[in-house]
Amino acid sequence: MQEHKVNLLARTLTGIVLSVFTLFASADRRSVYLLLSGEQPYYQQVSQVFERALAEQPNGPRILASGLDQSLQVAAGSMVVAIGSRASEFALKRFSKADIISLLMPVAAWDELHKHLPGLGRRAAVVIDQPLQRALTLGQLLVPNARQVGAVFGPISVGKRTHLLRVVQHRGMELVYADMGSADNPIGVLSPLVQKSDLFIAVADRAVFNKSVAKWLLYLSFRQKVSVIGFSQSYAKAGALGAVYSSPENIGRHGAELVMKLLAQEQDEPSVAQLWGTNYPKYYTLAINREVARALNIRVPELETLYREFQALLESYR
Amino acid sequence: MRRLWQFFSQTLYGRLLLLTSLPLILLAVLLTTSVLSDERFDVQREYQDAGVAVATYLAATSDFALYSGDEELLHTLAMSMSELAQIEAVIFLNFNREVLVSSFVGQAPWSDLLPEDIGRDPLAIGGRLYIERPVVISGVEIEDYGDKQSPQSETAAITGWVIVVVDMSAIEAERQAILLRNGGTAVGLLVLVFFLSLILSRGMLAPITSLKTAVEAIESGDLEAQVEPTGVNELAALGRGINYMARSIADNHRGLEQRVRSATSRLQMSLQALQLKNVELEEERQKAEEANQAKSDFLARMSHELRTPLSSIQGFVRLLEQSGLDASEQQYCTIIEQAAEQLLLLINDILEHARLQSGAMELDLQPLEIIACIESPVRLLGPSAYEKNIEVIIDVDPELPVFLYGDSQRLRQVVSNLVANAIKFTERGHILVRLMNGGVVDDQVTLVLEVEDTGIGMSAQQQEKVFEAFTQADTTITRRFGGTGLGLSIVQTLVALMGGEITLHSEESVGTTVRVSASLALQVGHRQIGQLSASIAVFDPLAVSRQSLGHAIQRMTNDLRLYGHFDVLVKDLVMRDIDAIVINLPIDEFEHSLSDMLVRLREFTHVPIFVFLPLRGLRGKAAFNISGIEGLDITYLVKPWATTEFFTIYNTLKHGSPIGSGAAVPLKNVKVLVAEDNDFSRLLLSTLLEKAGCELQAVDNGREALVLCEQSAFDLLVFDVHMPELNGIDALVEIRASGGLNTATPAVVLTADVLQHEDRLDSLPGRNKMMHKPFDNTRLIELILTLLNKQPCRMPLQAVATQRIPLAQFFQEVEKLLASAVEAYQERDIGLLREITHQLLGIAGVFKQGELEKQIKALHTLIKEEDAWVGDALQAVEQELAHLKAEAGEEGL
Repeated sequence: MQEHKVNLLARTLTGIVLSVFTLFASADRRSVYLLLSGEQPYYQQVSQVFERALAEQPNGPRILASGLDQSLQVAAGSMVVAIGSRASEFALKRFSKADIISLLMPVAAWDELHKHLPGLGRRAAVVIDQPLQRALTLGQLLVPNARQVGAVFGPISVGKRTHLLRVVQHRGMELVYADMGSADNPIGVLSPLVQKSDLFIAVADRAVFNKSVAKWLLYLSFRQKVSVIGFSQSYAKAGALGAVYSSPENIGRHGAELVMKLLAQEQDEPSVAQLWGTNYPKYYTLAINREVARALNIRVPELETLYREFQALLESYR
Repeated sequence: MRRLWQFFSQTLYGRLLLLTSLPLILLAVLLTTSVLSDERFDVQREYQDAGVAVATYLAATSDFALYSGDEELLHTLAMSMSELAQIEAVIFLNFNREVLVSSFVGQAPWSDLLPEDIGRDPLAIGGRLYIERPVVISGVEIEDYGDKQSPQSETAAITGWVIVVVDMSAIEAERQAILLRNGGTAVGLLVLVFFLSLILSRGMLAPITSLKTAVEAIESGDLEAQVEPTGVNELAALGRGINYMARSIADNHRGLEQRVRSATSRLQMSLQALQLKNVELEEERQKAEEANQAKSDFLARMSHELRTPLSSIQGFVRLLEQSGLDASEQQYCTIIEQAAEQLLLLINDILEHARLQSGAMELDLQPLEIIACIESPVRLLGPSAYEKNIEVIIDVDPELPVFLYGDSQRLRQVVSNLVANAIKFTERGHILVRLMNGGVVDDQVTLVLEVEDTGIGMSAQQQEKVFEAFTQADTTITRRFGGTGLGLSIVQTLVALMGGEITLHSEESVGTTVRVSASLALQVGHRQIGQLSASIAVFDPLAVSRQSLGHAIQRMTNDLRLYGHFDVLVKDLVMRDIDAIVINLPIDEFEHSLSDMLVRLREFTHVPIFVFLPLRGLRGKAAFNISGIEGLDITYLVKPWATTEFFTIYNTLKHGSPIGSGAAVPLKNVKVLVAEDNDFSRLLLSTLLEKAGCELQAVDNGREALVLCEQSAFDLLVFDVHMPELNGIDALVEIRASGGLNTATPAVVLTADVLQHEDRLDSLPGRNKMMHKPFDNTRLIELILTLLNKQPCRMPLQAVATQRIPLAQFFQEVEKLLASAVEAYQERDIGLLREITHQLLGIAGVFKQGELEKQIKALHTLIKEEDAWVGDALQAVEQELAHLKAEAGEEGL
């Protein structure tokens, strides 16, 4: 109980000091408030990369890191960077007039949040979801002979179907897909789909594509010797042949660059105006499960070669 | 079993075996039990663990098959697991707990398994164990950043259940196999342990067994046996010790044998000497016994020889007295008579003592009426007491049983001696003879007789010697009172003979009480006299005699009143209903004039009045002042009182006066012929029959009877059997055969011979009956009435009969016959003696002189058996007759 009182006092004092400091400092350097959703390592990693990148900048803003403190006051027109869903929701609720940049959020979650808490300030986000062509590219790279590309879409991800269909066709392949509702038996849906596919692209849709379905997918694909390309490092570890995802460093770095750009070009330039919105991660990371590759009898090059070939292939379809 | 127990508990070998093998056996049993228990538990756990492992494995691997409803896959899984020995079957249930796949063969207990989950713990049903695990759909982690909110719950969901069935019967089989395996090992181990112990014990005990064998040999007498000194040091030392001890014992044994032989020879010599002594002693004893017998014989013979001349002296002195002597000569005669009497008593005592000492006397136990037996000698001695103005009182306990078994003669002797002694040593006061009931146990009555006097008494020193023969309290007593000093000694011997006890309590100048107690058998089935409802008043100024009189009258009525004062009695006569008055006055003093008293009583009452007086009083009524009052209807009774007197009172109160006026004559005008050779018997019969109304003719032999029968007809013939010339039966035979006037006349044949039978009479025509003497008057009259077909009579005929015949005549007849008997005895004429005794027997019972009759009966028996004591029996009869005469003499009859 005593410890709780001490924490409360410390937070209050920090808030007061920050507020006073903001009043005096606002004239020459912009301050950026940094809010973390929790103590988890990936939030810390995003924060560290973000701060370090900004610190390296000659006119970098002043970073004011803080927890989700109810007593925190933010001056109007200030920029708030929130890492994670909780911090983003906190910022949208508390500082509706401030400019808020959300990092490390799933795109569906950010869209949902933004829709419910619009606010007066500007909003930007660096989401964790990857453009589907990246996954398709990795699949093509690893399974060059793939012709039938399988995918399942849920209620959230159904909007991406058209995009993927176009991309697949563009690359000379055929998309084999199915829509899955929450009432559908995932195995009943997945089993015939996998049987028809040479390569399966896992599309993130948390409405139906949960851990169990992921497991069935991996199990069925393993039985059918079909390669699966996931959307997270965890997917690769769980049994997918490979995955394209953005690491906390990727997001942190992207976030710092975004802030610098927004701070530097505050004018109403159209390029800048585009930045105030949802940004897919600029930087990515490739993950390969070499055990699965061996089981599927797929030769995977060294990581450096892989990145190079991946980049080259990606560029070739641009 | 018992031998086994003895082996293990009482032998060293057994104990050692037990000591060595028991801990090992116990250890082996414990270890085996523990291992068995552990293994059995392990098997059970192994089975259970296998079941749990399989269930857990299947739960983890069957999720996909269950979720996708792939029954084929599930069946493959189930069958693969069922191949394990512990697993009997696998069952897969879907989310709704419906059976999807089951490898169970037979009927599974679905009702227990399906409704709800069994839980984590195994469920045992029948011989099976059911282990259930839920099949949970687990997912794989596909998110890198976990806090992202998911619209759908990511928690694990149950998609079905797997149930694994473990066959427990397989466990049981395995358990039995374990038991067999371990049990076999344990038994083998035990056998091994036992034999090891056996070998060990044998090895240890071999030297001890050797010692034991040697000791047993020594014990059985083989003193040369030696122990082999082998084994451990201690046992070898023990063996040497035993050897040394055995040698010592052998040496000692030889020495002892030598000493025993020497002692035995000395003992044999002593024994021979003792035997010689014994022979000498036996000879001496025989001599002494012979001498003692000779003394007894001498005494008996001398007594008898002395009495014969003494009888002559007494007889002739009496004759001399009647021969007109002057006064001084009469006095000399009296002195001689008294001296002779004393001498006779002395001789009798000595004779009795000699007989008792010789041990020849045996008790003759007969049924007796104890009161009469005791009363008789007291009544005989009563007059001599009254001569000295001493009251004699008989007090009988009302609760005393009357009909007993005993030797009446000896009892009378005891009483007679004690009472005579009391009279002898008492100068004034009273003599109380008390008869008490000491208790009845098993039909045996303890009779207690006390004779209490108010005489001179004795000192303690005198009491010590009083029971010794020929001893009196003091030599002065001999001089003063006379006597031999044999009385109490005789009494003591007689009481001892009866198995009784005698005690004496005496105080100088106060008196003496002698108490005799003896156990007598009780007669059973005797009728007691009925109680009267009459109220009887008893007047007696003397408390002691009043109480005794009260006891006597209590036997006949409960309504008894005792009076010590005459005035009180008179007062009560007015106030109460009194049915009879009994008066007894002390002998020595009269405060009242008896006649005045009686007159006064008659003024108030007409009830019967009974007065007890001594015979002397009855003889000389003046002494009691009762002359001139004859008209008052007073009944005088003789004291000391006895049962007969009380019967008079009883009968008077019950039936009225015994001698009624206008007595019946039941045989009126009956013509009777009496044939009887004995004058007295003839007189007796004649008197009785005349009194009964008969017209009588009497003859003294059979021949005369025949003559009379030819001349006239009779209604009845009464013949004695024993008659001179022609006996009664022969006479009757001739009369019956003659066809004369009396051929069919009824006849009564009298005989004193109890062995005489009616056989001869039965063969004769006519009505003939036999009656034994002494006959009962009433029965004779009744018999005659029966023969004559007349009505029986209720009249008391005995009184009638005795009234007419003077007692003196009876005594005279008995005396005559007795004198003839003594003569016949002296001449050893047994036939004559028997004849005379027969006649005596015939008349003895007439006057109801019971004791005399008894004595004569005894004499009769002795003569028949030709017993050596005939002489004594004759004397006893003479003595009894003398007593009776003395008594009658008092009455002046």
